[in-house]
Amino acid sequence: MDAVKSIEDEVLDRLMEKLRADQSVSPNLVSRLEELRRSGTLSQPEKVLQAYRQEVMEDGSD
Amino acid sequence: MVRIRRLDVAGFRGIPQSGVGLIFDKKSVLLFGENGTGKSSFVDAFERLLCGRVATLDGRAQGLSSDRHGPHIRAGVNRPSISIVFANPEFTYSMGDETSGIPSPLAPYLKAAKENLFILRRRDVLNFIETQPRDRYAFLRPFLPLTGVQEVENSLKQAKESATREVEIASARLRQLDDDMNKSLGIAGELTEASLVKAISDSLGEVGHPPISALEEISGAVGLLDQELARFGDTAIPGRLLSAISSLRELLDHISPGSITRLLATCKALRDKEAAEGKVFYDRVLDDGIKWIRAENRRACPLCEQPIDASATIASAQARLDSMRELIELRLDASASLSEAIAAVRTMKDSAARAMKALAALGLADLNISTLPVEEFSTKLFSLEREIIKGLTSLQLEAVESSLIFLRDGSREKSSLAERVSSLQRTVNALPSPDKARQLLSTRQRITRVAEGWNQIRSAKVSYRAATAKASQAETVYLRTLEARKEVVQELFDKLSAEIGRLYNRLHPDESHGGIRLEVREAGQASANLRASFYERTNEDPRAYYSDAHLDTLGISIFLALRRLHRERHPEFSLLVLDDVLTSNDTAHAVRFSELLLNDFSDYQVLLTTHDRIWYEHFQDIQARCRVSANYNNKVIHKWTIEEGPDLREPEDEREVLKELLTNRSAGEITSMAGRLLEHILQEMRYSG
Repeated sequence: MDAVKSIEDEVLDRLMEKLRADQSVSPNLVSRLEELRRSGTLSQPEKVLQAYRQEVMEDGSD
Repeated sequence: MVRIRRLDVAGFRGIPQSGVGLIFDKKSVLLFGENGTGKSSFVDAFERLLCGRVATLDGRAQGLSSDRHGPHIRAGVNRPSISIVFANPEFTYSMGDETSGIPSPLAPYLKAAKENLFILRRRDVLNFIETQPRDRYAFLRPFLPLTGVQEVENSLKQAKESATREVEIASARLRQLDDDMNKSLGIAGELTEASLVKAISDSLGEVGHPPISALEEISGAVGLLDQELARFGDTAIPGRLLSAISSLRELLDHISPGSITRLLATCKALRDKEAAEGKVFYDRVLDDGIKWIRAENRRACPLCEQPIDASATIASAQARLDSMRELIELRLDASASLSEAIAAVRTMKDSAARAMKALAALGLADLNISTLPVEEFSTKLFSLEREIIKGLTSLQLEAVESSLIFLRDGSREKSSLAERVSSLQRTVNALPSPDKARQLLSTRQRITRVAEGWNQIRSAKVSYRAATAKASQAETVYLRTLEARKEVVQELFDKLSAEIGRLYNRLHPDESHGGIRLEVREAGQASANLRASFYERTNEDPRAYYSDAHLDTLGISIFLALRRLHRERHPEFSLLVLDDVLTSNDTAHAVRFSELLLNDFSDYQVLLTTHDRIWYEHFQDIQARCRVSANYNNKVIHKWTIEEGPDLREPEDEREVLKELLTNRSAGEITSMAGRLLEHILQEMRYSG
């Protein structure tokens, strides 16, 4: 069996993989969420909201 | 590799103050003793020292504890003493109650030991099988370190809920702007560019100006109005005054406690209803429960895991939802009122900002007009918004109610604004400008405001679309997170299932059952289903068909698979304690278990206890057959007394002592030791038949 030490990383890797494959999610948003993950701030709702907001703004809808 | 040299116990459980040592000498130990001879005292001692508790006492029943019931019953005021001597090629360390100066290679060993996943007692063999699925999942939690993922999930969920709330607010704001525009232009029905063009053209027609065919032509129409106004000299001052009057009137129109009063009323009705029900009613839980039962074709409650009659449960949940429909509707009302109230306050704030701008453009010092009433209004609106944006649960009804006065008709603030409008109107009236000029200015003001309002609506539509897009992304990201976690945990369960199946099949080769599978279920609370196959029946609860002996070996296989998983995470921690776990197995299965342990767990330091003398003998034969005899210390507890505890002394030791006594000591001492030796010899004779 594989080591389970990195199960949290496995879940988040899987999430990013799913988001990248999801046509309804923009690649920019995935990059932003990956950045939040790297900086350890994916657990802060206001940062996540900010990422969604930036994405929508850059998308030109706002 | 860190190994245990010896375990010394004094004054704890069945071991008296004089103390007994269990010698490992860095090997595994097979310990035989009849029932009640103190085997488990060593197991309890390991657990107490390495984990700080004893599962058979602490948390088992109220009033039981290892602090109170751990010490030997004749220990008196003496404290128990437990120590383990650890060794590896670099160090030898004796660990007792004091744990200072722990060698660094030992630290990870002790940290892993603390997770208490290395001891299996006879009474716990069936725990994992017999427990409810949610407790089974809880049992697996130490293998699923997902706290960080849980935090991310919560964060994404909160972001999703905030995004949804923003959609509701944006939608309410858009409705309000549409209503305003409809009201000011006297248009009924949907507001379209065509209806606006017509309304503006009608206004232009009233002052004899040509109509427009598109909203983009408004600036041209304003230019024509300005050209005509130029004939009347400088109309800048009356124009600005009319603009200020218009914006102040718009503000006065918007100032209304209506939406806030509705919010307070719906929120109060909701709270009264919830209080009358005597408990919080979780309609979402019932809704979701019905969905889960239907979607998963469940036969157990998603929350408590008790067996249920699915259709009766759905009917009962639906009946409860129906009986609480009023409450559900109150919740929806209150939620909608909240969004509308937030949108209304924001609209008032926008109007106040426009009024401030229009007043500032007047050159107030010259006209002796103060912006103070509008500023005061803005400040109060900011406070009100801050309060209601907290949400339904945190809304302070009394505080909001008392702060509403400034919005009511006849309030000092509102009267002051109305007075400003009258004052400005008097100023306009006093200006020397003909009626025609005033009419043109009024039209100019109106169509400019329509253009501005239309821009606001377009901007609000963009905001609404952006909020909807954001909420949709937030929903997708959240759902993908749940999927990702479930998949990864299921994969881990699949690996674990495969390992359990492998171990189980080693114990029961060529038997038509197995197919052990752990399944993650997310309904209600996270839980783990255990399924197995038996001949042609698959995906069944193993308790339905398995014999007690098969359930025992399944329980042992599950524990050993989990122990191996734990070892992968903590390779330095090699201790494995199996306390009399084989009770209902026949010889053939017991032999297979021995082979499995000796072959597949040869890199563990094992303490294996048994009360079965035959199996003890078999195990020693198998050690020889597997060529691992040198890895085991095989020990016998000859007897147990309350004064001396478990007697681990070998007959050979006693013979040596006797030889020494024969030359140097008294007859009494010689007789005593000879008696003990004779006792041992008789016991061995009993077992050898």
